[in-house]
Amino acid sequence: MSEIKKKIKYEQQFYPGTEKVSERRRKIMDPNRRLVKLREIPDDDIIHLLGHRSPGSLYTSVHPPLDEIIETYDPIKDLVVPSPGAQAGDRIRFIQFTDSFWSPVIAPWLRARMYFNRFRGVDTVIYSGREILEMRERDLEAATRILVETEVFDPARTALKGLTVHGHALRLDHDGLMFDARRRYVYDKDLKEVVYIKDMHARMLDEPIPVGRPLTEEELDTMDVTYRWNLTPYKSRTEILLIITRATHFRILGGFKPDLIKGM
Amino acid sequence: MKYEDIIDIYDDRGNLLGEKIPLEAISPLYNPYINNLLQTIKSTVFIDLNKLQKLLRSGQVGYTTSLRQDEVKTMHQLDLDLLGNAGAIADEMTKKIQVYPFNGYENDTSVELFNDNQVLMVRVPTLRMAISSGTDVIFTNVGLLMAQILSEMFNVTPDNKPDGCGLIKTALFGRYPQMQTFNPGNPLFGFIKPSTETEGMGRSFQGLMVNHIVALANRRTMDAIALATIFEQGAQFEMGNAAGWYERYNLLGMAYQGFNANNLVLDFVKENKEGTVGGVIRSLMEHAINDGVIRQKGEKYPDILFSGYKLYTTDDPSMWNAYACAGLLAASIVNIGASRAAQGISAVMSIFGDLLIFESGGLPDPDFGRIMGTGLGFAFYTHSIYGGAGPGAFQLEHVLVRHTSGFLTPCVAAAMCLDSGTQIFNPQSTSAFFFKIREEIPLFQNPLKKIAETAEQIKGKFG
Amino acid sequence: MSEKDRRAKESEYTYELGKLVEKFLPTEQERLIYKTMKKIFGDNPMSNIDDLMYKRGGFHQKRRKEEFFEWGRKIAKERGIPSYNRAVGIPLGQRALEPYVISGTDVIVDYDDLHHVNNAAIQQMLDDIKRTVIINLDTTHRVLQVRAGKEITPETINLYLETVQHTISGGAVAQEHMAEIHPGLTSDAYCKVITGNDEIVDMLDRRFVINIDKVGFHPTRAAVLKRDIGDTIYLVVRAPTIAIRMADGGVTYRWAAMQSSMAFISAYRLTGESIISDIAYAAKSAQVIQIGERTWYSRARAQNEPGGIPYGYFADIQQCDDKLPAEPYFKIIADDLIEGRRYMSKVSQAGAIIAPMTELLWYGFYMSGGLGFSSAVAAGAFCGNVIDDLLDNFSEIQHRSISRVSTVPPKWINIKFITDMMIQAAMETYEKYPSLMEFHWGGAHRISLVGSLAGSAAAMLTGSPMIGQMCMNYAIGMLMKEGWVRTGWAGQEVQDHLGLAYSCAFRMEEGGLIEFRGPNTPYASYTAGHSSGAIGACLSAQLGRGRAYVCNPIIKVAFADPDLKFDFHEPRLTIAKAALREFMPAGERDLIVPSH
Repeated sequence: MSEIKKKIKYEQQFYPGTEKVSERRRKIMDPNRRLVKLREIPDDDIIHLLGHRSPGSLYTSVHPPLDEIIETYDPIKDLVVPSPGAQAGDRIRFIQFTDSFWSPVIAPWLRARMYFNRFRGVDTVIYSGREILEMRERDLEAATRILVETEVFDPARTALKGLTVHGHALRLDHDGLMFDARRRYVYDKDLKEVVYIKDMHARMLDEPIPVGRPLTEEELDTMDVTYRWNLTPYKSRTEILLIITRATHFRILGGFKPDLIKGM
Repeated sequence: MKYEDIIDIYDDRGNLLGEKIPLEAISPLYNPYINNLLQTIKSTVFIDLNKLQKLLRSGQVGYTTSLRQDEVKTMHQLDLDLLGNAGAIADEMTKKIQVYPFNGYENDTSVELFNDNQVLMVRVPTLRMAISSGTDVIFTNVGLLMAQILSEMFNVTPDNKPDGCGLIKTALFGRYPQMQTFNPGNPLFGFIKPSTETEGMGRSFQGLMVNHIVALANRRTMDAIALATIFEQGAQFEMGNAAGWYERYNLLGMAYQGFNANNLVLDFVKENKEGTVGGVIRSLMEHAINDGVIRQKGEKYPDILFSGYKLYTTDDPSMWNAYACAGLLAASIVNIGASRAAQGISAVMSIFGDLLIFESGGLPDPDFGRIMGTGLGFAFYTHSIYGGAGPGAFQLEHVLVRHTSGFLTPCVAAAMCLDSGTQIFNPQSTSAFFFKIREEIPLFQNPLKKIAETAEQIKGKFG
Repeated sequence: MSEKDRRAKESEYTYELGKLVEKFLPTEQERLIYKTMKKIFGDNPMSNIDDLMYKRGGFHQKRRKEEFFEWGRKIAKERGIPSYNRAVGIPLGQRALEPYVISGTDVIVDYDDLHHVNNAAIQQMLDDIKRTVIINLDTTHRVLQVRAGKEITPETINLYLETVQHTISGGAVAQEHMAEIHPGLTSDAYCKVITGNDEIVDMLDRRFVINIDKVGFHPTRAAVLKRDIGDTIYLVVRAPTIAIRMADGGVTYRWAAMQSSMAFISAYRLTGESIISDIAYAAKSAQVIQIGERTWYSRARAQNEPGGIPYGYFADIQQCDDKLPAEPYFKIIADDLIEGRRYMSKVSQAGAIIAPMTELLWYGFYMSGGLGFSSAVAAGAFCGNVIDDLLDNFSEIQHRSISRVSTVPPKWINIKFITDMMIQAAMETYEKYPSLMEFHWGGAHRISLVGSLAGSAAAMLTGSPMIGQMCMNYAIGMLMKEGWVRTGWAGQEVQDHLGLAYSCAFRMEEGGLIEFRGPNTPYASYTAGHSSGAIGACLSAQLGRGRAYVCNPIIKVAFADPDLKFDFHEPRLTIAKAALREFMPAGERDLIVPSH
């Protein structure tokens, strides 16, 4: 008679590493941990920034609500719960962020990891400077709230850029803002906040939209998600280096002959 | 029995279809249903009589565009009533293509008309296939015999209609051989493509577009996954990707991802039906640990790092891969099931492996990184100016999706089933014909059930 | 001691590296990158603020852009249809449009001068490769002796060689009333012999020979090349540039076959007999060495086009390493840092051929049309002194710490520490130099650079191109990604993730020697940014082992020819010259068009 092994309940570990950068990466990825809200942006302003519809207007549909579509028999479709946007038949819309290289509070690959842990119904493509997120329109607006109001947005160095995204790798301007060829946002010296004067698609806004003050260098030192030569040198990250070494080695050996990695 | 693995196959409602099935009973080599399906696919060719008649009447042959197909207007026309004579054409074709039963081969010719007698479907006899070195015989023989039939039936000869002879040939074969390929949407077509159009050795079974497979499954997700798996793995076996060391690896992936072995995929989906891809990773790790597929490597440093991070290891890498591929599929279903928009499938392919590597302490991601690499390219090219189209419009052998051991495209098929109408290139627009084929050829219906049933029939032979 | 006390505290190991920079600034200022970035941007290269951003006058800050603007207006007026037009599209020039320094030189150029359509040297580089094909004369000689009973003597060979110069340029020899080509249009067409046999070289007219001892190879290299080429007489044929510009690379071997056969007919007094067929077959098919082979149908190109050239051939085409002794790198670097540095500098110089041919021309032009993006990758390879600086550091590390090890066994897990060291140093350099980050503004630059560094360093130490490739894939897809959580443009890491599994695999579309993969290999055919790393790995492995060539000695010698229009020994200078409008390419049609 075989022994009945006790079934464990697995808790995710997300990412290795002992120091603050790893800790921040874990926090951002872990859906059970709440991201700290740093600012409040009115609903209508978010819709203006996204620029896909005007506040108060109906959502454009790309097909009838799911309840009204007669689909061929498929138990899987009945099993997975559609998102609110899918349920309503919304069109797919996008938001695109560019993250500066200089002490970013989030960066492209981490965005993807975050999106797939925290959001449902995600389509994202990861570039070096920018990352696009496409979702059903009302789901997108809900996600945008998290993405611009919480600690994963630095008004000075995270930008909503729908087009003309160049700038993540450039030096900052004299106000400490990331470059934007389309000048969507400026630093308001009176308000001491970053203000968007154009929407994501570089169309002039009727009213400028303030999105909060830039994070200070001290704050960024604690919130930076990348390793820096002078703060958290990458070469000391033994845990991460161990994991990626292991992963690489397994891929090389297992890609050749799967059984080579048994018990390794 | 070569492998000790035993599986149970479940359907998409969690009902048991087949119990204690040895792994080899679902191999393309031995499973009677899979055998039959692959044989049928490679031996069957279609002639769209309606389209052929239109081309002959209008003279708009030798075109090369995919949509519209009307840029060429030749000076030649032939007004032939193919639809009215469809029955006679079918009879003639049967007479010309059939063979005597010989040398152990039956005369398993089959010529049928369907879709309101508009399409001729010819199953070339196995004897003709057997004496050929490849599969082009279905295009060459059936196409040329069709030309002969038209000439005889409608008296088109060099003496009375020399250009008409040319028109018939061009209508059937496009500009071939001036071009290496037939026209897009050629009236003579099969499940597979002519060998001159197939890039890469052994890839013929990958000639089908994802949308066609979805249509053949009538958009029922698990069926589409099963069919896509069969086509993919038929090619993987032919390419040698499932030879030797890899055979069990591929068979396990087929079973767990393609055929819902042990209800694993469905369990993952149920546990995350309102969840995220990250949740599927959690489920995958939990099941893999509880089922003994992976285990913690040790109890102290260096197997548990100072941060508390644990390293995992596996004593059965092929099984771990099968679990990971099942997780990949479940993640696709969960994510696309939420958005009901197939465009996100490439993103799941790109990120799943990455999340899994860092969750498991460096264990290999699905297909040792091949899925992740292919997925990244797939994501880029379906979202940019460099040429893409939607995920359903790719053939399984398309350069963007072909670099894996066959575990990516079934996920794409699942995504296209779940799409509720956001794609322009959806099965209804690209594959209307294949919906009809499904009705006509019952072989494509309920594939999972048939795989399980036939596996049950032969399972005693692997003792 | 309690568990808590025993654990090392991170705070005990951190120190203000930022402050240390000030202390070591004089040393830092000696660094090549420091000097170059300061020259290019005119500012403190380590500051991450650009005070003049948005204030440089847009596109007017660049002479070349203003020139384009003027020409756009001129064309619009002349033809009535607008052309180049700064009123449409993005407002260019909000950021600095910095000048580019060609690495290893003082030449400063406009970035637009490095676009392949604007640069005659890059075009000639491509043309010189496309128009070269190599025929083996031994078979033909045997046919002549055995079937036609002709004697093959130095005199007959010399006559043949003189005749073939005439036919290859389009001159007629055997038939009346054949239209001939104006020799002024094809003055770049010629043929030369390569052989490893010194006696044969002595007997032949020296105008028609690429003399391995006299084209600049280090004597140790020349000796190996001669030995491995042996007694065979190869004919290197250069078809006219104008011909391959009219057709494509596929015309070269046909041109060579026809014209060399006509020369045989004339020189050996043959007639239209069946022997001709054997001769033509020998020339065209039997033993012809193409530089590139046909590509898959979906990217269909003929022979001799960049997509069909394998990585190992690219590594042999470049001649930057010709003067290095054929000695293994580890022996050199142990004793002589300066000489060892030369090895690494040659690897960086070869980038000026490798990156333009693959990224710029194949991916960025043949496959992608008119966008100028891959000028970026090419520029990353031979501008700004970046890779020179980084590879130079590698030599020093080698000399000081690893030179006691004679060879490094090619095992990835043992060699990866070099990759870690090099790439982390490169990443830190980017972090320290915001100006460098701005210069390499895209993930594409950085990935390509990181890939070349990783591939070259590992292959240099182990002599294994395969290890080089593994290290490249690890460096990009794992190391760089986890440090910065960003890599390249969306599909750029395709090769890195599946590349590891593919490395040694026994599968139809996976595995195989790195030397014989290339842009036509399916998984590489649509993903750019890795050719420099893969080719760099082949080249470095050669240097690491002390070989004289990577895989094809005949191609190695064929491109050492000083009479080629593009100088494959000094590619950077040649490209620089073209950017300054001082390079005259071949294949111009001035003789047959009105003066303009």
